Parts: sequence; C-alpha cells; structure tokens
Amino acid sequence: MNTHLTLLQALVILLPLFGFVVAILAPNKMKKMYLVETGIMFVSLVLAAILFFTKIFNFSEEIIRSQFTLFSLGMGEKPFELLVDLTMDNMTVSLLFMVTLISFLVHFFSLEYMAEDPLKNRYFGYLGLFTFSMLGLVSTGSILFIYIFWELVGLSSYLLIGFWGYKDEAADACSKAFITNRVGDFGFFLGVLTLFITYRSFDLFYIFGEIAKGSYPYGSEVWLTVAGLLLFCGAIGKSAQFPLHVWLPDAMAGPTPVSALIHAATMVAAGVYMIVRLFPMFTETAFIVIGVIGGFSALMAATVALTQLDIKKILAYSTVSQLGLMVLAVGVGAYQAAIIHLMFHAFFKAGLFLGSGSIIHATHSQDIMDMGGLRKKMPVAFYTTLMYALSLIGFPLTIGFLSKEMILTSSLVLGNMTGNYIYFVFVVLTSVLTSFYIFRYIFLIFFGEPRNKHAYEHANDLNIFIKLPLIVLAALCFFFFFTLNPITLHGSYVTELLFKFPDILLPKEITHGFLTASPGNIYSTEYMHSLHESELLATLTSALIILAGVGTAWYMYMKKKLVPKVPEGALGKLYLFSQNKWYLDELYGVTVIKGTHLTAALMSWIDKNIVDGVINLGAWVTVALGKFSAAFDLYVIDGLVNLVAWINGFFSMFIRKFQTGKVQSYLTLAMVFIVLFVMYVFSN
Amino acid sequence: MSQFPYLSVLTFLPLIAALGLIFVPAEKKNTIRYTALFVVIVQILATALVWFGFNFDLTGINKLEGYQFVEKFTWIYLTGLPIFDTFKVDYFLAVDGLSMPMVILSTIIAFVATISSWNIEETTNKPGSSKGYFILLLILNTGTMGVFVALDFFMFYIFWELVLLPMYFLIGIWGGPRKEYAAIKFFIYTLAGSVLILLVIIGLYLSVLEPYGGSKIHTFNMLAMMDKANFTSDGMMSLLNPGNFRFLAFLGLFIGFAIKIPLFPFHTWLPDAHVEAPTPISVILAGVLLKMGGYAILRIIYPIFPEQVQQWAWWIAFLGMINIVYGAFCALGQKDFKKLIAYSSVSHMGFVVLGIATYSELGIAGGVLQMFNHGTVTAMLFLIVGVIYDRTHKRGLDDFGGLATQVPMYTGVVTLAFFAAFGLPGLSSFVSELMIFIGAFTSDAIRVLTVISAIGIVLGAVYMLRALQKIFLGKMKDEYKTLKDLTVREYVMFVPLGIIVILFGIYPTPMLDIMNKTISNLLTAIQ
Repeated sequence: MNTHLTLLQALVILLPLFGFVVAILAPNKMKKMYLVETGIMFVSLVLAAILFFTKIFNFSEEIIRSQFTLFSLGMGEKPFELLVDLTMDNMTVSLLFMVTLISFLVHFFSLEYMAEDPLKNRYFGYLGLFTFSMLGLVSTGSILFIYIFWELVGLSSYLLIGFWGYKDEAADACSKAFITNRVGDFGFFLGVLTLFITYRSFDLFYIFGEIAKGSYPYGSEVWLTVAGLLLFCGAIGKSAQFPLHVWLPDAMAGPTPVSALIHAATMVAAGVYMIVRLFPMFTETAFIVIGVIGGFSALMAATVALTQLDIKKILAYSTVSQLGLMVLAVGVGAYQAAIIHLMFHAFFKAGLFLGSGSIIHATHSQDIMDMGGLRKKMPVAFYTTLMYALSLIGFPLTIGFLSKEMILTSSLVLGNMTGNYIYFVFVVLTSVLTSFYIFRYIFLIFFGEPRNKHAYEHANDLNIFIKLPLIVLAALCFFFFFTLNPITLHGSYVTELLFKFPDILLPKEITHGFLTASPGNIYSTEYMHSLHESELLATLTSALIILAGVGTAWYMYMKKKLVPKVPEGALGKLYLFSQNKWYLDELYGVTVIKGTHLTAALMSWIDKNIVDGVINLGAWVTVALGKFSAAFDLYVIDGLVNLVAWINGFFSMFIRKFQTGKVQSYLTLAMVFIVLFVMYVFSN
Repeated sequence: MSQFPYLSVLTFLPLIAALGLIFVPAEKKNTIRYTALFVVIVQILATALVWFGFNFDLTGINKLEGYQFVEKFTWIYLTGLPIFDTFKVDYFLAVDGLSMPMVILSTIIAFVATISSWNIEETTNKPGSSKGYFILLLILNTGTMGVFVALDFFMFYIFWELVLLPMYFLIGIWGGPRKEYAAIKFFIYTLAGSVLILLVIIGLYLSVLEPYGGSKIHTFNMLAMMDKANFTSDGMMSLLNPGNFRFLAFLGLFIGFAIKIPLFPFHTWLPDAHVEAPTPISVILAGVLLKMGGYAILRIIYPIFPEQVQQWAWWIAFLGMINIVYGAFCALGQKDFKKLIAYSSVSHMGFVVLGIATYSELGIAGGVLQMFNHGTVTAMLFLIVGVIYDRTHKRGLDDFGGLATQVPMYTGVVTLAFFAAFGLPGLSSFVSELMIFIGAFTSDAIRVLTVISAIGIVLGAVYMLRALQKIFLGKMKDEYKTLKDLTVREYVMFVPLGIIVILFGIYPTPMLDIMNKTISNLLTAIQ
C-alpha cells in the first residue's frame, strides 16, 4: 500500500512536468495545447487531494520514504552514492495539496487573464514547470534534492518573471531575481557540502539523528551553527528576507497570476519550508540570527508598504513582511506557527494578488491613483479582497487570526521566559503597520471618489474565470475549514495531524534555551505552561493592533479623505525613505553591483594588458631579436663570409698574375721548379 | 587481437578520407562535404559499437590487461643507433574508462562540427575553399581522436602535434579579421608547450627499459613508464638517481598540458583563437582540444609522476580556483559575445583542474565528467554565437536586444545552453560540478580554495544572464525584424547536443559507469 502512495506522490509531482513538456514542445499550429496543460494540472490536483486524504486518514503516523540509487562511485568501504529520495509525511501531503490547489486556481484565472497573449502555450508550460519544482521540493528528505528543486524553482521564476521580457523592467527583474537568489544559494550550497562531508549523507532524517546523538561538523557546535546559517542563506534569498529581499518587489514585472503563484504557493514558500524542515538542526545561536533577520525584515518591509502607490508593490512588501513573521516564528522556536502561517498566508495572499490582477485587468492600470470607488463596480473583487485583508490583519473568525495568534503568543512566551521581548516588539509593530497599509489599500481602491473616471467606467468583475478563484480562496479564509474552535487551532487536525512535529525528529535530549526537548515534546513544560497563560494577553494585544492600524487608516483615508502625497518637513524625508524602499536598491547599485562590474573590468584589463601583454612583449622581443640577428647576419656573419671571399679574391688576384696564358712563361716557371726540385733531391 | 580494429578505423578513417579528397576536384563541393559527413557517421557507428562492447569492470590506467580494444604491435624498430641504442615505437591503441568518455565526446563534436561547416564557403566568404577546409578538418579529426587512444608516448606526441597544423591553417585562412595574429599565437604558444613535452618524452625514453625479445630495451610505452621498477638505476628520471630530473620533467609536462587546458596564466591564446576562428573550429577547439590537456594530465602525469602531483596538488587546485574566478570575472567584463563564451571556457575548465587536484574518486570522476559536459555545452554555446553571427555579422552584446519574440526557438536553445553552462540542476554540468565540489570540499587541504571557487557559481549566473538579457530581452531594434529562426540544419546540430545535456543531467550513470573502475584504479595506482 505504501508503494501505491509513493507512486501516487510521484504522479502528482511528475504530471505538471509532463504538462510543461507537452506545452513547450507543442508545434506552433497546436495553439490550444495550454488547455491540455491546465487539464493535466487539474488531474494532479485531484490526485494530490486523494493522496492527502489517504495519508491523513490511514497512515497519519508514518513517514513514507522510498529511495533508489541514481549512481554510485568508488569501490572503497564507503562508496559515494547518490540517492533519489521521495519522502512523504503529513506536512508534505498538506503542502502538495495546497500547492496544486493554488496552482490550479492560478491556471484557471490565467485562462482569462492571459487570453490575449500569443505565447500562451509557453506561459502555461512554465506554470507547470514552476509547480513541478515546488512539488518536488516539498517531497524529498534529501537536502541535495531540496537544493536541486530549489534551483529549478529559481529557473521557473526566471522564465515567468521575464515572460514579458520585451519590457525592460521585466528583463531587469528576472535577472535580478535569479542572481539575488544565486547569492543566497552560494551559502546554501556550502551548507549542503558541510553537511555531506560531516555525515557522508544527504539524508536529512539520518543527519538529524546524528545531530541528536551529538555528532557535529568538526565536532563543534559552532560549526553546526555555521552549517545551519549557511543553509539559512538560501532561505534569505528565496523567501526574500533582508538583505536579499530586493528581487521580490521587482518580480512584479511578471504577469500578475504569476505573482500570485510566487508569493503564495511557490518560490517564497520554499525558504520558509526549508527552515521548518531543518528545524531540528538549528542551534540556539542560529535561532537567534534567524529570528532577528525575520523580525527585521518583517518590520522593514511593512514600513515600505505604507507609502507605495503601485498596488502590486504594496502586496509585494506585504509578502516580505509576512515571510519575515514566519522566519521569526522559526527563530522563536514556533515550528507549527511558521508552517501554518505559511499555508494560511498562501490562501489569502494568492487571493490578494488575483484580486489585484482582476483590478489591473479591469482598469488597465497598476497605479493606486487611478482607482477609487471600485467597490460598486467590482463587488466580487471588493468582498473577496476585504476577506483576504481581514485574514492578513488577523481579524477574528479568519484563518489569519489563528496563525498570527500563534506567532504573537510564541514570541511573547519567549520574552517571558528569556526576558528578551525584541521578537514580540517586532511582531506587534509589524502587525500595526500591516493593519494600516492593507486598509489603506482597501480604502484607496474601493472607497472614496473614482480618481480616474475613464478607468472607473470600464471596470467590472469580468467573468467566471476571474471570479471563481477569488471566491474559492475567500471561502478558504474562514476558520471552519481548519478548526471548529474559532479562537485557537489547539486540538484541531491542523496542529495535531498536519503539522505535528514528527516524533522521529525529536532529539533525545537537547537544550536550546526555550527548547528543552524531552521524548514526546520539543518544548519544556514550563514553556507550554507559559503558552497557555499568554494566550489571552496575546488576543487582547491583537485586538488593539487591529484597532490602531485600521483606525488610523480609516481616519486618514475615509474621514479626512487624504490622497497619498509626500508630506512637508521631516516627515517627508521619512516618507521618501519608505517610498524609496530604504534606498537599498541604490545602495546595492553603487556597492555590490558596481563593485562586481569594476572588478570584472579590472580583471579584463589585466588579462588584456598584463597577462597577455607579457606574451605580446615576449613576441615583440623575439621579433626584435630576430631583426637584430638578421642585421647581425647581414653585416657581421655575412660580412665575415664576404671578408673571407674578399681575401680569397685578393690572393686569387695575386696568383692570377701568374696565369698569363703565355707558353714561354709557363715553361720558364716549370724549368725553375724542376731545377729547384733536382737541387733539393740531390742535396740530401 | 582477432577482433575488428575499431580504434584504428576511428582514428585513421578521417586521414584516409582526407588523402582521398586530394584527388577530388575542388568544384565538387557536395562530394567533399558528403564524404566528410560519411566519415563522421561511420565514426559514430564505430564509437557506438565500442561503447556497446565496453567492459565496465576493466580498470585501465597502468595494466595492459585493464585496457580494451587493444591494438598493439611494433611499428618502428631500429637497432645500433648512437645514444638511443635501440629505437622502438609501438603502434599501440586502446581505450579504458578515462579515454572512452573523451572518444565519445570527440565523435559527437566531430559530427556537430561537420554539420556546422556545411556552408563554410558562404559563412567565411571564401568560395571554392571547401576542399582544403574539409581535408584539414578530417586531419584534425584524426589528430584529436588519436590523442585519446594512443598509449605509446611517441604516437601520442605525433597525434598531439598533428592537431596543431590543421588548426593553424583553419584559423589562419578561414578566420576573422585578426586571423593571422590569432593563428600564429595559437601555434607558437602550443608549440612551446610541445617542445617541453618532447624533451620529457626523450628523457623518459632513455630512463625506462622494457623486456623485448629476450633483452631489455628502451621504450615509449606509457604503461611501462608508470611502473617504477622499469626505470634504470642511472636514468635521469629514476627515483634511485639522486640528481633525478623528475620534478623538472613533471613541470615540463604540466606546463605543456596546462597551455592546452588552458590554465592561468597560459590562457590568453584562447580568447584570440576563439574569436578569430570560424564557428566549427571554435566548437572543436573548445569542445575537444582543451580536453586534451586535462586528459593528458590524468593519463600521463598522474601515473608517471605521482609523488610530484601529490606534492603540488594544492598549487594545482589553486590554479584551478584562479581559472574559475578570474575567468568568470573576465567573462563578465567582455563586450563581445564570443569572447565571453571563450572566457567562460577558461572558468569552466578551472572546475576540471580543481576536480582532478582533489585526489579523490569523486573529484577526478567529476573532472572527467566535467570535461565531457563542458565539451557538449560549450559546443552549443559557440554554435549559438555562430548562428547569430552568420545572420547579422555582429557579435557585440550591445548590438542586440529583444530578440526573444523574433526568434523564439533560438532563444529556447540559448536559454537551455546558458542554464546548462552555469550548472543548473537537471542539466549535465550540475552533476559534474557537484561531484567536483564534494570531492574538493572533502579535502581539508583545499577547502578554502573550494569555498572561493564556489563564487564562480554565482558569477557564472551573472555573466550568462547578463548576456541573455542584453541579447534577447528588452526592446528589439528594427533592423532585426527580418531575422530568421533556426533552420533544419541548425536543429540537426542543436537537438542531439540538447538531448545529451538534459539526459546526462538527469541520468549521468552511463557515463559514470564507464569511468568508475578506471578512476578507482588510477587512485590506487598513484598512492
């Protein structure tokens, strides 16, 4: 039976890849191939649902794994084996279901949104590839295969962000996304290598077991921290955390349904998923770094979202901010809070993006200044977006309330236990800002007077392809799909079944400050106790946060009917600081990017003028020597030869004098020599 | 010995065809082209048969029994000579797990280069030159194939030199504007290396004795040179001789082979030669010629001079690292598409050197696999440059822009090749780079070098995507409105290479099976 499940899992993953191949290789004539790809995606969704329910109901306690050797090398005692690893636990099947669902909704939405595009086959094919990569990523227990799918996610995002590559901003954005991610992957890759050389395996479950036994890289906890943080570098890139978050807002240049996919189900989810997976290998120091980076990213992005005028930019920074909260949740040890918020966020953020897509599609503008009053023209978009926004701020009865509550409580408890309330402050401030910016978004788009009459006149909710995904996602934002108790997720199947910390990963005895793992639970009783006590306080805080944020937004944009513009004085400087995203793009432009290009130019110059210069100098010297030898040859060597010749000639001339040609002189000479010869003979 | 001489056919068929083509009138362009095509197709079949009959359990390297498809008999045997006393050269061809991947690579590249040469007269604007061109191409083919199958050092050297001459003319006659400079630079540079190699060959010859017909005589047999027992006690390369020249000999060979790879700082002939050479010649140059250096280091230096290799391994890895990072930065600094690809070769061959310097099965196997993968990927890259250059006669990165919508299929091929070049998982280079990195990272001595080398992974993406963006994304200039997408002939070149790149990216096992035992034996032999 388990093999059947594994086969089913493989099918869920591979079908979208098949869809990609079909759509990409379709000849130009088969213009409708994208429909086939969408159909394949639907089948994958159905199978994922079947897989989900079978696993949850029948095999909830098991981790179903299957591995086979792709190749092995060497003949020593421990040959290198590359294992293909397909792993399925409850978290995997939940995410498979979530990813295929959102991916399918995005496909469905795109049928209308991309209807006019001539390269639809390609577009849907890329969506398939994207889905495949993400499904593979959550389906393996091998850190190497996580890395492999990780890169494929990067490729798909590159292709999709750059889908309208003829636009300059899309062309810049896709390269920026890939390269920024690659910087993070540099660390990720080194982390993978560190794990491998320590444990001679890529198998995370095996590695966690070894770590629990106290086997660390180089035998030191410091290096375990380093390895964990190197891997986390990858997550910083993919999940758009400070300082590598700059690619995500630019990635808006892609088609809007793609943004929905990137910001919800795929890509950015990968980073958070990874650190949740790697949870058992982080040390206390690693947790602190993760928590602070997450908290800072959350707050920073929220401040940027306050002043943006592009509706997708607001949502993009909102994503960075929410991802920051998830990363922070990991940092404060709230394993479940992170992954549950990841899933819930996927629903309402996908909805927000598809909603913004419908607005863009209807008004042909992304500028918030062109909108206003749209609630009458686009009721479906309005009510669904309102639902998503309420989820985002954690309004009671929504799923956002449930997951945000967990993060808030956990960070508060950490403060209670360690005296370090910095995380709690991060969460509270971020949440206040979140409530403000998302209701600024709502008020400016759907309320007030239309600022662009022409766009307003033409706006409408369009057809079922646009409306259905919005409605489905809005429905999912109600709590009752996930728990019967609207106050808390405790005791619901989400915490007890889907995202339960797997027993197999429980270290026997490990202490990271707030985490004092004992068999059966990763948290100490003290921690759990504090958790229950803090819930009420957290709920109250939450209510105040919403009141403060939404109230301010209401006051500014509904009561005072303010229009976004740069205020006077010192506040204006802050406003611009926020609107220009803390000038980080500019900073990177003059430091990293300029530095790299200068180095490249310098290296090229050195190569041309010094390395090659030496060669050319050598050649020049050789030629010069050759010329010198030629001259030497001509004037000295050949001169000598000529001298010899001349000397020869001179003596020849002398001897020639005797060659008179007269018989008498010859005879005379002959006679002289004969006489001399005879005298010589006889003298002896 | 009764089996069919596959290797001789593989090696000498092109030469015979070249000699035959001398008698074909130059106007019969098609006869000439189809003869060349016929030759490479026969080579493909022969290689396929060798691969089919290849025994994966034989270990190669230093034992004759470990080799397969052996053809060995005395070729030249002179006695009573001064100094040399006897002079014996064997006709000695064989393959093992080290040479087989290179033979397969040479065959593939020869095929692709022939297809790419089809319209050489038009693309280089030299009407009526097909005859000379294809004759030289076929001779070159014999040379490259011979280098990978010859096990007699003398024969090896002949093939090594045989590559130079046709290359010189192919660049010097059919090349670009600065062809004379490039050709002479290439020729003299590599010839300088060859002189060093020749000196070492003579030194080794005089130091090694091998039994022959009852007595012991000097030999060029590489396998005999790998056994320390065969060195005469007073030979200049003998370990027993206190003033032995082994280090100098190692250095001479290393520099000779490093020039071919090309290793920093001996690499500057490469960009010039590539930029000036016509497309098919660039393909052979990058696809096969560079591998001769890496192959020779493993085949000759490692088993004959193991102590020196061990002693200098760190420095070899260091040079590999320099190649990777320096080559990548140089590639990023280029404005010429073809020069960028040339420098990317410098960078990628650095991975090969880093891999073989690791002294581990994984690293060396990764290095050999990287040679194969780089050969196929870089062939694609140079063909890609050729396609656009043939159509527009431009190569500057800034001359283009926005071609993606105009030529979507071409863009697809380019995307595949570029992502393969910087090692995207799922494509062939990733597997070899991963193996190299694991091998290198496992070694304590060169771990720091490995970390620095990993910067090459980031830079690889940077320079490749920069080129992709500049050429294919953004606004398109009106002059390219009439640009045509790939032709059937171009598909014939790209499709096989593309399939190889994807196939070996997902399932590299066939290639690794070939080399597995041989690499293990190489490591045992040099311990």
